[in-house]
Amino acid sequence: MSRISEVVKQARTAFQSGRTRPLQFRIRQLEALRRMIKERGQDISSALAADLRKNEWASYNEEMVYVLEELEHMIQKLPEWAADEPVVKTPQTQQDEPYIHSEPLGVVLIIGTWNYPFNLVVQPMVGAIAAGNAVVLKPSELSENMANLLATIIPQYLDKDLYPVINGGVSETTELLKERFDHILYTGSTAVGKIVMTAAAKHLTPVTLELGGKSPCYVDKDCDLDVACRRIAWGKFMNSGQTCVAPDYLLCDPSIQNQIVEKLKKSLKEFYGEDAKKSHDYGRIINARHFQRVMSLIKGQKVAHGGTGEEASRYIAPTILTDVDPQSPVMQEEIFGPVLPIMCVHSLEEAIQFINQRKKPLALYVFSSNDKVIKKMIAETSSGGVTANDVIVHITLHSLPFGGVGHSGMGAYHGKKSFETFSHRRSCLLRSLQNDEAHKARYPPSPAKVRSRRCCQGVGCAGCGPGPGAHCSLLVLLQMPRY
Amino acid sequence: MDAFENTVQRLREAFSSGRTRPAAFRVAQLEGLGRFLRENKQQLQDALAQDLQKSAFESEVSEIAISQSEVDLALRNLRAWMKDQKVPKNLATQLDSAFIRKEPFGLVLIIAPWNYPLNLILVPLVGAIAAGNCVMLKPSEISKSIEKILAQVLPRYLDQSCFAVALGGPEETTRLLEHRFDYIFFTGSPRVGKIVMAAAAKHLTPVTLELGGKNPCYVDDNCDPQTVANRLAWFRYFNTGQTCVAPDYVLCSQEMQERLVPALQNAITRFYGDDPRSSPNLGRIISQKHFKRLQGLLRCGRVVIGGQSEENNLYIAPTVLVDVQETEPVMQEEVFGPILPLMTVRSLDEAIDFINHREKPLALYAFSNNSQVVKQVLARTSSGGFCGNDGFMHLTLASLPFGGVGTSGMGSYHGKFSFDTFSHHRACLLRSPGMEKINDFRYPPYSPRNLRVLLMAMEERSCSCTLL
Repeated sequence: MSRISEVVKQARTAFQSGRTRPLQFRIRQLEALRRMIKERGQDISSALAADLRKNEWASYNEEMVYVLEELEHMIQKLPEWAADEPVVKTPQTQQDEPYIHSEPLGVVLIIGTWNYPFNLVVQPMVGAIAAGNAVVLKPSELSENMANLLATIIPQYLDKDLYPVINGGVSETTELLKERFDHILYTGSTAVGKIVMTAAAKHLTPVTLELGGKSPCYVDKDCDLDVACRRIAWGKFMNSGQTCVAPDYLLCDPSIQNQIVEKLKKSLKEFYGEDAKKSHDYGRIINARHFQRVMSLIKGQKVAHGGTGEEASRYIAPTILTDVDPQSPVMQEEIFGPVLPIMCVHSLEEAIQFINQRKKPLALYVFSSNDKVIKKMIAETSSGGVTANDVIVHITLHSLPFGGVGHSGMGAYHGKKSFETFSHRRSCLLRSLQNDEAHKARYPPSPAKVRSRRCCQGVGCAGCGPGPGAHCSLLVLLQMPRY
Repeated sequence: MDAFENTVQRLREAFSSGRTRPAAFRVAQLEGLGRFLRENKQQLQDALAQDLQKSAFESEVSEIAISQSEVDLALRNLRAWMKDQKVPKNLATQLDSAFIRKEPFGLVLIIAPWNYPLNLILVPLVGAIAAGNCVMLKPSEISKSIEKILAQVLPRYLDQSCFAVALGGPEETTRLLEHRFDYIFFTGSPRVGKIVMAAAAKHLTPVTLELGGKNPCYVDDNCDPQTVANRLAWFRYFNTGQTCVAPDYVLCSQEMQERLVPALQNAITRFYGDDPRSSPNLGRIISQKHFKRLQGLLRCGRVVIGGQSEENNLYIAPTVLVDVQETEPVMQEEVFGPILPLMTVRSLDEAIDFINHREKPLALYAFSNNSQVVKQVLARTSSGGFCGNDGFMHLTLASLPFGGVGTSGMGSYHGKFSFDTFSHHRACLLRSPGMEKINDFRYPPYSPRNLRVLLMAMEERSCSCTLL
């Protein structure tokens, strides 16, 4: 048996021991995870700095703080969420106990990615642990320092058998996907999402796929451009553009394009100074391949700002492109870099049409002071999520599910949704063996004639022939509750 | 360019036109569905009798009335279900509007099986329509009479630009699955479920799979055998055993088995008379293929009740088997017929062990006067759904989600769960352009002071400290 098979088998055996079932056990693991972040914050920060040139601030404010929030929320709410949920009874089940019982699925696989390599592996893990599962983690090999750190510190704080970390590249991941899991959560590209779902299909394993796409950002003529551009610049260029919910491209009327460019430039200068390369707050591209990919998207475009890069340090300047042609390469793939194309449209309708001709994105943004514009944009498009008059923030609210639709993904997590995603919600009905007389009416032989629903409804009447309860109660048996 | 290309294209265009979005449109479709059921009741009963020799009673109770109820429930609740769902906000979003918007996916494909050919296609259809989707239906070609009504009569009651029925066998279904849908709802076997999911993966189409398995039924010593036998028999032989949630096999002690067998005989005689073959309340097997399969299962273990079969009538007698081995076919595949194998165990622990060594079933049953025993079976196993002291009654509550787990399926539906299944839950946050000062903290350049303030805020117990 390969090492990977062994590790997964061990996790399954540990799950089957039943020790994850008591809430106390799960809470202790979550508390240990919280301790891990508080005690090893520096190490986590250093790994992020080594992988992506993230500074301490970004490490805390863009990665760790969300996991801590999720942990707090989960620890507090777990008893409530894990409790049996009574449901509305029908007239025939008044004496019974119907409820939904949440159970762990078993062994969950979480495949992380490199752009928020801590958050995107550990935040889903919080929900999986809370729901009582064993969790196998597969961090991205591209963010090597984080992958190694997680493999070291997680076993130091959490149950070693239940929550193993498996590292490796494409071949290890392929091998891992041959194993049977009870749920797989994958964050990454659309192309690999298909591979993951295909592998999951062989075992009938349900999946949550957090993918990507080109998240459009429409800027209306009627809006405070200073504020809009500041918020857009912040969300776009954070982590050097390597954020799945970053505004990918802008849509605006040609009459405001220049203003937008000026105000974006102003905000960029405020954030990163004259030369972003010298700013401690500006990140780097993850590796050479992505560096080259993003640089090639700039080729042949009208550069209004930036446009340069340095291969050695994998630095790409904050770049703004104008009058972009929808057919050009930069408009064909998710940019995932600090390059912001601006495309001109002459109306809200044109913007909506443009968006709807493309694959459903993970996020959609609209800036306007006019409520009607916002409502129309949301009503006539689809996307994983939306923030109006800001960017990214909808994913920071744990009461909102975080996930995609269409090519940007399926399923969702964060907060209670995480708990539900990693649980099986089992329908339960407890009846008593007494009083079989009440059920007599359902047994054959049934009367020769079938009465219509509109008759006495089980109350009993002359029209029922053999007497009340004969056939009518059978229909009443199945009547749906009014609620 | 295949037979379905044009239809898929047409439905997609209809969806893009926005026609299915207004509540009024969806209400009209649901009302049409209700009229379809009421105006064609006799033909539907006749078709079910033709396909499965289903009695009028069974047709009413498990197909027509259930579908009608779901239509009525959706009509009563549609507007409430469609409303934006407000969610709690954190400190940073106090002044904003945060809600979940339920949106249709677009084009939904519903693939239905032959055993409850009306229910298992119309109930999902109610959910898909209520959620605002365009729908392609693929009824089973094996239940031919119902398939014909669905293809020829149903379309007259719905807006045909937003709705279509695809016909054919495995080959046509394979071709249909090559097209891109926005959601696929499949009811059928785990084997085909894998094929459907693999096809869906090519387009990243989300799925709900309602599959099956062997539904165990634990019968404790502490119970009245006749009451248990009545309930077991009714749920086992309903629809001639062709029910995905029927009790598939019984686990009980040797002593209980000896009491259960005569009780089961009593129940069978009471329900179907001395000659079940002539009872109007017992149906027939759907096809030659399944008949032969079931005939084979009659050779497993030892027949203590029934065991008769008649090929040209597709008749199999209500049968009980004992002394079956785990390795025999009747304990290896889902029975899906009027045959109930009894297996003896020496304790509750052994029964639970036996269950847990197998795939998670769609349903699980436990009978006991002792509620602790019932609760133990529930707590120590997993299954799609569970009923203590009865058969698949849990299905009759629209307030309970109906679905499987593991190889018995993924996703669920019925009632509001149908609406939610066929909707994309879109997270929406509407902020105001004002109050920009609050955001200042999040912008670069970052000073050590910012970090200290953030770390201090993180120390606070009840922090919703995202300062974005």
